[in-house]
Amino acid sequence: MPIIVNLDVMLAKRKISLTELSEMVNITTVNLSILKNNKAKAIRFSTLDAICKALSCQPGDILEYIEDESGTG
Amino acid sequence: MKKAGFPTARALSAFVNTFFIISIIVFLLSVIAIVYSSITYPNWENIIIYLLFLTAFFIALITMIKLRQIIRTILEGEPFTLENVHNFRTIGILSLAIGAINFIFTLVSIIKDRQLVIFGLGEGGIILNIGLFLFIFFGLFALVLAEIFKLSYQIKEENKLTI
Repeated sequence: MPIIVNLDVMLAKRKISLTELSEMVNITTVNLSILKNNKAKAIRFSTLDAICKALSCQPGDILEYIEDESGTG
Repeated sequence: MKKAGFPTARALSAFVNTFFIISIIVFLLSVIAIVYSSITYPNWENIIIYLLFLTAFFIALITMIKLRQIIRTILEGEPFTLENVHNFRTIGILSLAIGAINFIFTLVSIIKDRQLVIFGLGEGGIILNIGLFLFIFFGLFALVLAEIFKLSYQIKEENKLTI
């Protein structure tokens, strides 16, 4: 996938653990881990909204697009 | 998902279970009757027909076991699994097999009586011999359902990975 989730970077910057974030955004740690480890296939706007609010950052701080060499995702 | 509220599924489950138990009793009684009559009046032609009948009945019982498995997953709230896709596919193929056995029956009756009655008025009243089409139709129906369940499974998996 050419879209990369940099949730762990942002968590380290804000010095917040995954468990704390899961309590703040009301999403289970299991699901947050899926997101953090780039296993997720999609992300809801409501989730993105909650995470950005909790970490007081922009979606661009969490998500990153990397040019795929093979052409297809 | 809630486990308490599936009233129609529960009613369906009770109905299928009752029907399954009745079918098993009828099956065992037919086995006893067939064994008895085969020993008393040995006749190859009849025994072959009896065996075909028992095979068809047995296949129908397996179909019902599969149906009960599917209903159990519905009651558990997780019906869209690959297992159920296989269950529906098995039901479809087995139903087509019963249709094939039914076809053999019909062929035998055509050879014996030199005529095929699908519908009409006979000596015993109205004849409606639609079983031949019914099983094939039902088999195809179950195969289509299997494909639908496969798609549902893929959608469910994607939904699961949407955070």
